[in-house]
Amino acid sequence: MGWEVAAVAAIDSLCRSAGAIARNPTSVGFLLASAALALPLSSTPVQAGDFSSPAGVDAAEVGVAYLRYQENGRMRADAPLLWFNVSPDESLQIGGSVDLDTLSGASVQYVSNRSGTPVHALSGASVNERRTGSEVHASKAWGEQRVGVSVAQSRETDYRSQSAAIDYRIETNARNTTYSVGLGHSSDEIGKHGSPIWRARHSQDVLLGVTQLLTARSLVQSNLAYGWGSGDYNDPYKSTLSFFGPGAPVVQPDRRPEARHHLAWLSRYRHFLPQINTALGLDYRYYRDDWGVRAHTVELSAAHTLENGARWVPLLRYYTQHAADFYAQSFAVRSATGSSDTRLAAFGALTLGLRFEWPLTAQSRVDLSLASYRQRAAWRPGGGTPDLPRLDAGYLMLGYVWRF
Amino acid sequence: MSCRIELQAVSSAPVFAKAAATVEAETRRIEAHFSRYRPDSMVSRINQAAGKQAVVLDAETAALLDFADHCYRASGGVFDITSGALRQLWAQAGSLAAPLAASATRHRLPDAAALARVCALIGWEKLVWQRAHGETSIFLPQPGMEIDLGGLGKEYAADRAATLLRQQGLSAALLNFGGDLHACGPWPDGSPWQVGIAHPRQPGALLATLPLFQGGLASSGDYARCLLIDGVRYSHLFDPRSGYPVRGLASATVLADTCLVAGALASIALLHGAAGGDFLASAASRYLAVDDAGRQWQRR
Repeated sequence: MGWEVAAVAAIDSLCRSAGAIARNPTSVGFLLASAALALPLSSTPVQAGDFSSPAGVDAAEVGVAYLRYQENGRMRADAPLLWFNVSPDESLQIGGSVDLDTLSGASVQYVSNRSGTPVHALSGASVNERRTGSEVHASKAWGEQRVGVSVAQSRETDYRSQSAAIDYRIETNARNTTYSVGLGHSSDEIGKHGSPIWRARHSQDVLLGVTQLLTARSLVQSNLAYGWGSGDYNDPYKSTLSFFGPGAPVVQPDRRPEARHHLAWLSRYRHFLPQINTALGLDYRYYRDDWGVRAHTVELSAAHTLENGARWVPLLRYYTQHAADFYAQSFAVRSATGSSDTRLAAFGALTLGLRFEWPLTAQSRVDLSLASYRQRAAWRPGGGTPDLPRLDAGYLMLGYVWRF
Repeated sequence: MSCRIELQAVSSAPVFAKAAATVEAETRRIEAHFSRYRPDSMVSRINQAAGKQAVVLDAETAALLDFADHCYRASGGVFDITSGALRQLWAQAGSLAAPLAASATRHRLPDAAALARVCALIGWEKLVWQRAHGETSIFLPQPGMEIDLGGLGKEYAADRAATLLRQQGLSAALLNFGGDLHACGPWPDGSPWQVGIAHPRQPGALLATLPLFQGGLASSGDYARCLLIDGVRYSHLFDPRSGYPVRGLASATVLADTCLVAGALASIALLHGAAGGDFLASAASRYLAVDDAGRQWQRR
């Protein structure tokens, strides 16, 4: 007797939605569900805390990953990374990570308009930088409240950074609403190859957030972050050469204000569709600072879970940025602030990404993330910085996670 | 309860130990209260009083029997918890056993007179209900009549245990009462429990894997316990109108908010025989059913 799977008998093709059948007052399922209400049983809404980072994971998780970032013909970064998370009991969580980045390739050192249009010239010297970073965090929960702390440090031959942060979270309203507050401080020291001088920079951040469950399957989250810092923000390796007729150029080293205040507002919406096992996401982020940079980010994502527990998440992100007040590609006179760093220019960018999680055994999983990033001045509504060189970059992350 | 009960949860060890103790205590309570194999349970007292007197019901038993009443009406009369007597009659003709067991070689049909006698004792509509002074009582009019909650007791226990675990704040937990599942909620990162549905004709193989975020999942089929008569496989569910075991669907799996509703719909589907797939299409939100020929009905 053969076991061929024939076509699915679809009597109620008009009522494909699972909800329609269950809510139909004449359906048997609805009638029995109503009868069951007389019994001392409860069904539960999903709670806002369930969507947040995996708190209360018993056992330990260890992961290794390899990251590769590559710009078209320019910079390349390789970063192996090791991380762990452990929960000695339900209320306590500890984690940390160590990474080793290798940055290589050529970095733009000079911007010159000698040819008539601004050209980003590579210095000829290649960059070969090594950065080590590490981070440790811990959090403890008491009932609906949770407090977390984290410290991080990063080191290169010409750059050192230390930071610390503390955050507090409380779930209210039958765990449908979560409020969070965070404070962070960072101290950086910037040096330069061949120079004994180190300059300092300090910054602080405050974050306020709320996550609200809208239905059993959807939630909205909004975070407001405000930061302020002072110190040395200049890139010691960059300068701009501006030629006006014959004679020596105007040399403008990279000089930025000695303070920066910035504001970022992030809102996200997540909606889970059980019929297709997919969580749809829409994110919007607004950034502004007192250097004149303003940016908008819109991101669409869809996290789909397969029957074997594998997950794939495609995403599309659109980013636009307004240039900093002191950004220019050429300078008629040398001034107190001025920079030709393309990261401060006006442009639009598109990222197309795909993340894939594949469980190998009950205790291990492979993660793969791929992204393609393209940045063009013309992609900004109203236009971006003219003659801004295009940037194409790709990103790959391959990771392996053990749970035990 | 005569089945294996399993609790899986994402939690710390002390929380898990407390949850396991809660599940065990509640299961024992329900068994003591509803099992027909316990002489002092409500069900046994009702059955022993058959033909003699009415028995007053507590609120929990009344609600459960009311649920059975809804199942009877919604199934067109085939889901009938008074048909327990049929099981014993057919059991005398050979034990209900797994198809590969040595003893399940051949069953004999019971003789017609015995069948007619037992069928006279069956019929939910024959029960007499009395409601007075805020109390409900039930009377089985003839000696020999009996009610048997069967799978309903196991499914109710799964739902009750899940309710108590949720009250304790545990949400990433899955209860398995011998194949009747109730998930309190998904994993902490939102991912579902993956449930393997046994293939009814290939032992050890899976028919499908269904994701379960929360709620009940129950299956009914002819592969675990069945009758083999003249080489034809019959399930362990009996059609009260004919007195014969049903055949037609090999397996039906239903997902619903509670295991009770899921199990009732799965059993009713099997009782409809070959028409079970069509029944599920109009009755259930998510289901998977397969018949002898391998034909599938599903809404995932």
